[in-house]
Amino acid sequence: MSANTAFQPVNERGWRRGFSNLLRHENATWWGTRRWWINILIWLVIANGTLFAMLSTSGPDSGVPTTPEQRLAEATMVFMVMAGIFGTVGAIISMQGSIIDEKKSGTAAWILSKPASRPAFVLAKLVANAFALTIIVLVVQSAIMYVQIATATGHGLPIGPFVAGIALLALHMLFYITLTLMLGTIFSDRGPVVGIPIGFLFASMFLLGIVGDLAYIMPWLLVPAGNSQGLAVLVMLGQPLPTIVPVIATAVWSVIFTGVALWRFQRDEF
Amino acid sequence: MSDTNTLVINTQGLTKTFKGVNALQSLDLKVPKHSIFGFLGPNGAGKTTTIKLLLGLARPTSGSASIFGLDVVNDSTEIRKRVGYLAQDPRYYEGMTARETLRFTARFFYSGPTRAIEDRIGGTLELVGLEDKADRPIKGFSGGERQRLGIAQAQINYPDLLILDEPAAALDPMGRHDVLEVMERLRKHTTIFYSTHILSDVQRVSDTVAILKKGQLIAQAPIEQLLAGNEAVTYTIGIKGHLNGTQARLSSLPWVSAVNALAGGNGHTHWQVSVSDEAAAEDQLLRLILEDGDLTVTEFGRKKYDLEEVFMSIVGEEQHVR
Repeated sequence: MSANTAFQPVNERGWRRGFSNLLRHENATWWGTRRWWINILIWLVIANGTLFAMLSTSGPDSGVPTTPEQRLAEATMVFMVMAGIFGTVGAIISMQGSIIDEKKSGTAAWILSKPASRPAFVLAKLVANAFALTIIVLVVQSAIMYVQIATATGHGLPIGPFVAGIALLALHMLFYITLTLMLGTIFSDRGPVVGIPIGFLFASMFLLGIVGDLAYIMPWLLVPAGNSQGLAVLVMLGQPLPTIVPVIATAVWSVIFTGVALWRFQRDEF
Repeated sequence: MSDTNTLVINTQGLTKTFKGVNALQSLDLKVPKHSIFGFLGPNGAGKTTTIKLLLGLARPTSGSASIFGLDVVNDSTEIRKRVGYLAQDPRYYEGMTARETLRFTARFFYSGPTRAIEDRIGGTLELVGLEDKADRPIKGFSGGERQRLGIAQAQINYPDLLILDEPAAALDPMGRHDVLEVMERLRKHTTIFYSTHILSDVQRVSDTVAILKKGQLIAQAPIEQLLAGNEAVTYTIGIKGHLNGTQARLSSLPWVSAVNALAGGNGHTHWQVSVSDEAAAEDQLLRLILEDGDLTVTEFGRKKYDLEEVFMSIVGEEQHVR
């Protein structure tokens, strides 16, 4: 065996200590296993399958009189609901055990007995999962959706607004990913970790008309909910944004949730 | 030499309270460099709590602790660069192989070169006898294999201090034998601090021992000192033949405090002679017995206690005092 002098020591310091190793590990749990393509298939069926069914039944041959613009708007709305809302549910479910399972199984204690910082442990999970879920649920599916819509309607969505709309969906999903992550550092059971974010997500269907201006500091206005078409749909269809406040608020909430998760995990005992 | 140079672990008044219950009370522990330090105590004594405090996995309620002179709260990451740890019930990612687990562990310490890291992993797998199972997923491993993998991952960085929490508790005699053998192999490279409640293991491999009970340190000493006992020096003597009042003659000596005859057979008798003057006993005791020409001495030596006797005596004393 070689002496320690033969090695290059890890030179990450402070909160970054252990981050690259943990990130590599977290990425491998998505991209090094079957998990990534199984999820792509699932979301292909849910998001693009539903869109395909809708497009197949609303074309010129269907007997339902619609303009290409109406079909485009309808198709965009369907995709936004499937990928934006149900995709977010999938993201919450994927994230629910990321912290709790490791706390319960003892692997968190094992890792934290090595020279790895607690922020690195939490942030590696956030970055790897947010990236994988964005790619699998939003980027891949929206690319397929783009082709589907262009083929079915004969009109491609303008690229800039299309990308901006997907970015708003990603921000919406990030809000729920960080919320789930934070709850994972607070609770020790999966129930509240998965129940609170899903409850909050679907609460928008009923509460949007009741909460008034509070809706502007929630992520609810980003996707279709209640009578709201959703800012992401408007952006994607090239319409002007009525307000940017929910976008900023959602980003700020995501940062706050991440901060609380880091603070709470730093205080945890194993 | 200062404590920093001679002590690897040094705790002062280290205390941990969980919801009003004292898990650890004012622990003053001193672990010398290059020792195999047995941290002994019944279940629930506070051994694992101490280890978690040392590793920064829990925070002390009061008191302080240092490892290599570094504070366990403020310098935890720096300490963990030089420490290897095996948990009582070690858990890993079940889908990973032993080699992948060691690679993952090694990457917390080293960024390269890849070849050297792979060599280290190979050598470590060999050290713990897992080279033939290196590429199998851990989920199929037996308890003994998991424990050996635990030791492998704990020492992948050639740590200056190995902390092992009950390394042999869940193992069968063969598994325990293997683990103790690995510990003995590692003793020349590192300080080993390990908790256990298996007294025979401690006696076999440790050179220093601390005994913890209900969160309190009740003894800490080199094992030889502990095994010598803290009572009067006692000699055990095996005798064959006719006694002719020898026992009474010995009892009358001013430096002999007691002579107890134990049951024997076939004309054999065993005595335990307690003395107050060790030098006089060494010089005269055997000679005085042999003056009786009808006797044959079949055994003569200073009584050695085993750790179980010492442990029970110390723990029992504590209970009596309370």
